[in-house]
Amino acid sequence: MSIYQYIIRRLLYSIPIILGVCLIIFVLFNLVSPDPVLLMLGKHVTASQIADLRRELGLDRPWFLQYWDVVKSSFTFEFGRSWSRKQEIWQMIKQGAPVSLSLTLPGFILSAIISIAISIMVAFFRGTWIDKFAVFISVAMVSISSLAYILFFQWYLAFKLGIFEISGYEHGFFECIPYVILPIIIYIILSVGPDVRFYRTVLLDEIYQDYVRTARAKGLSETYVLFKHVLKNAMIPIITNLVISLPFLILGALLLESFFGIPGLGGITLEAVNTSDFPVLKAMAVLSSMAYIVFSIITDVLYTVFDPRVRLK
Amino acid sequence: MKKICSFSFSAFFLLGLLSLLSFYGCFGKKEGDVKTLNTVSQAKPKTFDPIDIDDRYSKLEASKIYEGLYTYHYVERPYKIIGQLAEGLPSLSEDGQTYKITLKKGVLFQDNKCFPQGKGRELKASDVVYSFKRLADSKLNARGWWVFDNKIVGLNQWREENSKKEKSDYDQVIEGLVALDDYTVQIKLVKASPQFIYILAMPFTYIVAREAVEFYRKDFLNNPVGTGPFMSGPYDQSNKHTYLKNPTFREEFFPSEGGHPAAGKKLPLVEKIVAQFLPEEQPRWLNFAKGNFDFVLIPQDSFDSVVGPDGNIKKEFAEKGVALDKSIRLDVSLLPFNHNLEIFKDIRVRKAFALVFDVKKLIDLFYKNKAIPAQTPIPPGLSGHDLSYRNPYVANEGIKLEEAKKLLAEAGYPEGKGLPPITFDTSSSSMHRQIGEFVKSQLEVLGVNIVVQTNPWSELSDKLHKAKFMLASYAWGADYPDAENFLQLLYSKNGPPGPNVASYNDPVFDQKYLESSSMQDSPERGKLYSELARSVAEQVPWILGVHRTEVTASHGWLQNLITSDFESTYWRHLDIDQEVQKKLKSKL
Repeated sequence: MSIYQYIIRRLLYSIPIILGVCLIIFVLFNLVSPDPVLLMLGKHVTASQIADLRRELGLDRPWFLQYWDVVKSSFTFEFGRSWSRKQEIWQMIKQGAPVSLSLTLPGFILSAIISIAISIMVAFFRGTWIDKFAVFISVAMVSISSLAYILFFQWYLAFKLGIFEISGYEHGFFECIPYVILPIIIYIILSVGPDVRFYRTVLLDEIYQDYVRTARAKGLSETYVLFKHVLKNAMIPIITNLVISLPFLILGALLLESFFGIPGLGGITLEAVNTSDFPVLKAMAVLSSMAYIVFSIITDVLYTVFDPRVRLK
Repeated sequence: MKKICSFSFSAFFLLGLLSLLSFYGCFGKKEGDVKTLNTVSQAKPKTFDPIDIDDRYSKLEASKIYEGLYTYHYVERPYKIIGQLAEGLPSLSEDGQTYKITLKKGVLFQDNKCFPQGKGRELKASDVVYSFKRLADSKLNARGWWVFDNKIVGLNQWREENSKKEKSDYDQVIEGLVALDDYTVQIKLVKASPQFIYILAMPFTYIVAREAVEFYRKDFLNNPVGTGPFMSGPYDQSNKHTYLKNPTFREEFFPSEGGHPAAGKKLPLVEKIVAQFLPEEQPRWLNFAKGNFDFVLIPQDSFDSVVGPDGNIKKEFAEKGVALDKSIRLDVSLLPFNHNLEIFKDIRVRKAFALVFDVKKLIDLFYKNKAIPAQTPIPPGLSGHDLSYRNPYVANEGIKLEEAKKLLAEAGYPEGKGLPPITFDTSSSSMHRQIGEFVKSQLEVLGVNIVVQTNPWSELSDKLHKAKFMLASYAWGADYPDAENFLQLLYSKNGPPGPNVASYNDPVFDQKYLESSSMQDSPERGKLYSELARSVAEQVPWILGVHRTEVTASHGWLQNLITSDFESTYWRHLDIDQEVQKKLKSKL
């Protein structure tokens, strides 16, 4: 099967997935979520106001008509306006997504490079004190709560030493740099621990394979074996891990955005949860699902690049 | 090996470069010479459209740009209503139902592209009529509609008629809302309401220009065009918004009453306001400590590091010129009983619960003494609050366990036997979760089984407004400085989904409430409020909590800060002493 046929088939498979996502969020919202109308109307509420607003939002219609609206908007991408802020949802996403990405994308790229570099070094020095020390540090890093990092670094590096901005954000490529540096550093620290542990395991799994022993027996250097053979085969799970993380970059890093005053999508999503803002929640759920589907297709395609044995079916 | 090292080295080099780039920010920043007020709020404004402004943070921002007919005197206490766009107080008919309001002349809307040639025009009475009609327009679903609902003659009918039309007719004349001429508005009420003038000071009733609404249409909520002392560009939902002094703002001066040092100075006093929105306490506080914000509410976690056990500011902060300002808020926290439940219809059960609730311990543990026990619903500072009154069902001198047990036994529940498990619904914030455990420990001495249920705010609000709770935590902040706003919490017709979440129903209270709330402000009315508050408090419709004190820290260069429950009055009156600022900032 050609790549294009495969991609089209996978995209067609995504239709029932999106329908399923719509159904889940619709059911959850109607069964579990509190009444958004009361929240929207504030503390002075009358029964007639509730009825008017429910009519305006279409909440008084039969459930199947409401569900149809959810499905329709998911495929036409017309998400309408936020119930709590009355803002255009697309406008909120367009404003928030690049801001989130200015933090998460550099953090993601750098943490990937650093994690892979450390993992390769650790794999090379496997069994030695370097390896053990790296594992210890990785476990320690994972054990410390992200909130602890944020609170400490913000207080010490930004406030006490004054090296970084305490909080804030300015739009613009160069303007935003001083504000995202510290959050990016924290993002990297948060990611490196678990990533190093995972990549190290993947690399070591490959290193202990028979073909590697054969390669060494043939007289090839450790470095050559590591970079030419092991890394290439280990890239499959590494790529899976990296590519599958990509859609979530847009959602931002919630705690980092909140503590550093970065107006990204993470804050928008959290507010939507707290205010039962269904249109925003629906938009975020549908878009994340679609992004996940697209990136998983990309992952599958990339498999064939890294491993010629893999055939798309 | 070489390859590994060089690969790893490259990665670390990149990290180092990233860190170095941070210095770009340090050298790239410049301090401006413009007198700038730097403020911070806990949340972003939701909207700049006055008809939907029902949250504190939107009020704070919109009040920099918009104005209403009336406002509160910045200096005088108790709070006093004064004209803002109106020339003095309204003239009132004999029956108290007809208000004639004269507008100030020469008030201009801010320059904006929505006006011809971008020049703001003069405010007219028709703008007031238009702005108020927007509140009534059912198509806009204004959150502020409740302020005019069934209050103005003909307005509800206008709303009803236009709800059926595709486009609301703003030119249709309403009997109770008329522009008599360019500078005179007449408002006829369905019945006399002394609180109506306070409504005209609420952000819902800020005056907007029809041109701006029609030009920006659905994006009007992000493009405010008012008559106020500051103006801004479109709001882009970011965490920062900048306001510049409105060059066409009319001549207005700092009030001379009270002999304030700034008396007579032309307003506004600063050129620029930079407002930031930070939900977390730590960055708010650290930025303040660094001098990036001019004043801030002291966060709970930092309180002990700033304020000493004597309640005064600590030396290290005093030396840096930081000052404290304490004010008791016009609010009350309470634990409402659900009066729809049989167990709470018995006053003896309610009294027993109230007698074992140690409110002073609550203040000590959770409010760091930044609160006072509430004796009645009415907070200090309002007419009707009796400073000397002590509610016998508030544990002012410690809990009264024996008395409580006796009452519970008389009600048929000796040692709490026979009472079902009582669910206490509270917010899921960490402080309220802890308060929930505290409430449990307090009431369990009676042998009552308390189950603490934490809820996100949206769920708690849902339960309260649908009366789906047994005992809950609730609080009320004043919409306006009239005790009626607190007593209405017990008026039976305000039951769920209204603010009487306890579903309290006492015909005697209702009658006296209606009688007192229709009286104009007077010592007699104050006395009646006071009696009513005392008598209802002793009926224990709720377990009373506290009136909170807010402690604001401000830097020495900030001038004229007089803390108020109505923060909308701040912006034009605050000033920055730039010389002092330079001196003090070097110490930070």
